[in-house]
Formats: sequence, structure tokens, C-alpha cells
Amino acid sequence: MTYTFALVGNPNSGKTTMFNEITGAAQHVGNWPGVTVEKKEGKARKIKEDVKIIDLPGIYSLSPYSLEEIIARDYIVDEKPDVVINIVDASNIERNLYLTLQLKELGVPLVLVLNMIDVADARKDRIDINELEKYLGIPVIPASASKNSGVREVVEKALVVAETAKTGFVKKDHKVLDDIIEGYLDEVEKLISPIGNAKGWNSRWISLKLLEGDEKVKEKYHIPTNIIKDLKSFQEKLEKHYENDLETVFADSRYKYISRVIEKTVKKQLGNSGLTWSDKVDRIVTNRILAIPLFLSIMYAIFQITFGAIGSFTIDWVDGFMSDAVAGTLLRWLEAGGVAEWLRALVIDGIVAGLGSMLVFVPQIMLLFFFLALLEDTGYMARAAFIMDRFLRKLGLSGKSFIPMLLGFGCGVPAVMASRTLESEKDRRLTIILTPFMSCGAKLPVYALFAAAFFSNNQGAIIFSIYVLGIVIAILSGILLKNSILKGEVAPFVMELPPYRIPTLKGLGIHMAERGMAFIKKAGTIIFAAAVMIWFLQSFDFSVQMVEDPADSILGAMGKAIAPIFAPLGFGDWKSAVALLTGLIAKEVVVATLGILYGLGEVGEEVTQLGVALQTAFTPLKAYAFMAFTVLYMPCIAAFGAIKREMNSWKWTFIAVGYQTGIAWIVAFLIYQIGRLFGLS
Amino acid sequence: MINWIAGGLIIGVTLYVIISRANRLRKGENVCGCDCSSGDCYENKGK
Repeated sequence: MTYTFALVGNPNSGKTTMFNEITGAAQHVGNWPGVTVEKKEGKARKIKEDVKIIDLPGIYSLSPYSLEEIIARDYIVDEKPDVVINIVDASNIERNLYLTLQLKELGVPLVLVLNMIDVADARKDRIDINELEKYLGIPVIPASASKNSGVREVVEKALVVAETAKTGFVKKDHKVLDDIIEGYLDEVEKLISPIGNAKGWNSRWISLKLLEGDEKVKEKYHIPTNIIKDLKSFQEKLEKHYENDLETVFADSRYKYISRVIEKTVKKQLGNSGLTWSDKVDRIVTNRILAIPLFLSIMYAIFQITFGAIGSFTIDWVDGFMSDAVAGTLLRWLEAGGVAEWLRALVIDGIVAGLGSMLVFVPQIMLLFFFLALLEDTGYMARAAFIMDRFLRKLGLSGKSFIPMLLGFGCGVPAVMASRTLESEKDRRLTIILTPFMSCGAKLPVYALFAAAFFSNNQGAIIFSIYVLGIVIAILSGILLKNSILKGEVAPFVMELPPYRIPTLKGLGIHMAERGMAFIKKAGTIIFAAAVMIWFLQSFDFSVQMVEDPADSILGAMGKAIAPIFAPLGFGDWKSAVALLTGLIAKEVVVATLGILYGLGEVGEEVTQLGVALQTAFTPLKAYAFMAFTVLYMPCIAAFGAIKREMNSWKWTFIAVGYQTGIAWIVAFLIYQIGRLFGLS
Repeated sequence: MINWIAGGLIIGVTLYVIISRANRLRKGENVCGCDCSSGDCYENKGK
């Protein structure tokens, strides 16, 4: 017998951590709300093979206010999982129980998991599990997914609940809402039941939603007009009785019930000031004056460490390994195998030069993402979003846009897709246009290469400034677009700050490994293909004859055709133009292309030599303008595809990439020309 | 012989990567070769 269990809970209650523990998967977990937008599937391999686990997006209620709530509710109602496992943050139980009550109203087989029970224990909060079970009428399991404690018990209890539900024995539910509301609910149910029974609906729940004024349910079930008429009269009576609107009437009634349950089952132990240590840290970290300087200082320190001594050490080590061990061994094999000259050139000058020039930066990139994961897992990144929200709001932008933008530092594709959580179409379009300005991980090898070659004493500061440039341009563009083609109201944004947590080594390891694996996977597929293509295009002319000088090749001709566009920006040579063009395949290909075109493939020749070769074509000013152009111009083809899908319009897709490339040109032009005016070279 | 095998393999892999990506892009699927640890959850399942 195969069972399906759905994980449902508030944002940041630890659903994905629980999902990973049950399934053995390594899904991205973030200490901020909104990491899971779509549902994910896995099997409870570690506990019971034939149990399917579904991780649903984090939601606060089953009311259809946001896309996540609609996805989760539709799944529970339409797909009918055998058991809903409701993950509740034990340290924040009161607010989490609102969703629990709504799940109870739905009448689905339910197991309540008090996750992060260790955090509640550490605060000396006492939760009476038996009493909680009694008041809620559902099984309650204390657990700590991050410590793999109680996870097996959760699945085993869910199996028992599933078996019981199959036998048709379902415990009669306790009444949650006020008697008056329940009375009207009975009346509505009498009207709905005849149709509901015939069509196999959950009549009680549909009646409740209709009484609550849920338009989505009214549309979905095509409720007849005579019932709607009666329903309206019940609603009016309810509003009159409570002297409040329906939404408040129902919410109040549920919260009253929660208060009663909490009073009987939870004893909170707070410090003398009534503040947790998390609150105390937040007083400094989110302080109006200190917050932004502190955020910038932390980021600056991270870049200094990553691109300072530790980063340089990793580059030297990998560089030596790639050029001596890999290229040397490959060359010996090729010579011993007696392969043709062209094939040797393809492997060494094409593949090794292309991939090698990019792969040397992988440890440095992993190091940077280790630090970013540390900030995310401790909960600091959520504060960064909060700080930026406060700042963006003053400029008339929605702070909710900043979550997709934060994801953009990893990869533009999930970031662009995350913009679908924004309710307003104008805000969504705006966020899609701005997100690619955030410097994704793929652009890092470009900065690392140029910073090492031209700014060896200030690598961290230079790369940090490029990241800041992306953020500043995104903010300025936001103001410009919000006041012109994307005019509209600022959407409200409520964000819950998660408590600070000590990151787990496993969590940080997953972050780093996923980043490293993503690069290696990319190197083995798209960058490999790009390197081979680039080698062919730079080795042959249009009559498919091998050329001596790459300038006479197909690639050379293409580069020369577009190079004049970049001349006013300081890098009008054909090699740079071609590198920017091939960078549209994937941004790392910029470095791979430069590696091939500058002949990095000779055995013993290290990537640092590529830096020396670049000094013949670039000056520090030109290099900086090139990096600025790289951070801002249109994203790679994968992100372009994501933009098209999310915009659902070719017109808006081209407006987005046209705007990004236009801004990149203007900014690089200003940097180069103003730099020259100030006598910089 | 070795030239044909090795050359064919490299060109075959290259063409496979290009064609499969172009095909996925044409179908409107995700061609993100980047951080798909979170990308999986943003795949267009059920959209």
C-alpha cells in the first residue's frame, strides 16, 4: 500500500529540513520565508520506501491570499493526501496553530509536529503534549528535524493515522468556532449537502468557506444563485451580530480558541525583559542607523576573506594542478596515442583551456557561498531583506521584490521564477527586470579573473564594489521604472523575522556542495560544448579552412563586426566582444572564451598567465568597465528563457533584456569616459 | 582510428548538449544548468 503524506506549515517552520531528513534529499533550505514556492516530491527512503512525501510551500492560512496558499490548498483539497503532516514551530506555537485549526476544519487526517522543540526547550518553554493532543483532538509529535530527532516517530504516527483513516474510523472533531457561527454553519451545510453528497464534496468545509466569503470556492464549485442568496443573508446576520466584517469575525473566533488551548498547554519562560536573545541581537542588527553600515561591513569582510589570502591560495593550488597534472597528463596520453594535431589542439587549446580557466575559481566560489550560506542559515539574510525593505519602501518600491533579488546572487533562473509570488503584475515585471542586475555565481569567475590581473592588492574591495554597483543600479532602475512605465501602488509586504539559529554543518555542507556540483555539472555540459564550438569557430574560416591567426577565423569576423559597439566603453577589441557574446550561453563562458582566445592551453601555462595576457588588451580602467558591463548586461540564455516564461510576453521579454543591455552600455561608458577625464588608465 | 573515435565522441557530446538544450528551450522548459537545488522546486511543475 502506497501512502502520500503532505508537509504543510508556516514559512520557515522547518518543512524542507523535515523533508530532507525523511527523504534523504538535499533540497535547498533557507532560514527565511519563501524558499519553497512549488511543491516538491520525495520518498521516505530512510524510513519506509512506499511512502511519498510532498513538501508544500510555507503558508500562514488556507485563505487564498497568495499564490503559495492557493497551491497548498488546492493540493490538499484536490489531491487528497492520505495524511497531512502539519509542521509547527514549537517556539512560535500560537501563530502557527491558526493554520492547524484550518486544517482541522478541512477534516483531513492530520498529525501535528512540534518542530524545533529543542529551541522551545532551550527557552525553557513548557508544552504539555498530552493536553495539546486532548484539546486539538489530533496526535502531536515533538521533533527537531535539524537534529534528526523525532523524525521517524512522525512518519510512523502518520502511518498509523493513514491506516485508521482507511478503515473509516475518524474521531469526531471538536468544535472550534463560536456556537453562533457553528449554528449558521449548520444552516449552510443543510443547503449544500444535497449537492455535495451527490458530487462527493467535503460539504462541511465548503459550507464554512462559503460562509466565510471565499470567492475562489464559490467560483470553483459553481454554487447555485438561490443558495448564494440565502448565504448572503446569513453573512449579514453574522456581521450584524459581531459588529465586524466576516474576515475578522472568523479570525477572532479561531484566535480565541487558540488562546484557550495555549493557556492550558503552554507555559512560556521569558527573560526579565520579556525579550529573547534573538530580539536583543535584532535591536542592534536592525537598528535604523546601524543596520545598513553593519550589513555592508559584513559583506565587505566576506569578500576580503574570499578574495584575499585564502582565495589566492586555493587559486594557486588548483591552477598548478590543472596546468601540470591535468593538461600534462592529457598531452602525454594524446602523444602516446598518436592522435592528430587538430585533435590535440581541440583537447588542449579548446577544452582544457576553456574549462581550466573557469574551474580554477570553483573553490573560491564555494568559499563565498559558504559565507553566504552561513549568513542565510543563521537568519541574518532575512534581516538583510528586512533592512532593504525599509529602505526600498522609502523609495516607493515593494520590499517583497527583494527576496527574488537575494536569490539572484545564486542564480538568475530560480530568482526570476520566484518573482511569481508577487501579486501585482507590475511589481512582478519590475522584479523580473531588476533581478538579473544581482550578480549571479556564474559571473564570479569573470570578476575573479580581472580583479586578480588588474587589482591584485584590492581584489575583495573591487569585487565587492561590482556587487554593490549591481544593487545600486537595480534600485535606481526600480525608481525610474516605477515612476514611468510600471507606475502603481506599493504592495504591502509583511515579513516574519526567523529567530537566529546556529547553522548545522550538514546544512552548510549542502549549500557548498550544491554550488560546487552545479559548476562542475555546468562545466561538463554547456561549457564543454561552448569550449568546443569556440575552438572550431576560432580555428576555421568561412571556407572551413584552418587559419593561422584566429583574427581571420569565423569568430574573428563575428567579433570584428560587433567590436565597434564596445569601443566607447574601452574594450573595442574583437576578443572581448566575442567573449561578451559567448557569455550569453552561460556567463562563465566569458572566461572560457578568453582562455581559448588568449591561448591558455600550453602545458605548464597557468591561469595567472591569462591575467598577464589580458594586460596587453586591458588597463585597470578598461577592466573595471568590462566587469561593470558583465554584471549588468542581459543574462544568459537559461535566464532569458525564465524571463520569457514568467513575463509570458515577447514584448516584455525584449523590453527587459533591452533595458538591461542598454543600462550596461551606459554605465560602462560613464565609468570609462569619466575615469579618463580624471586621468585614470 | 583513435582520431575518429575521440573526435566523434567530443563532437557527439557537443551536438547532444546543444540540441537537447535548444529543444528544452523551445518547449519552454528550464535549461538552468546552475543552482537547481532550489531550481527543482521552481520547475514548472503543474504550472
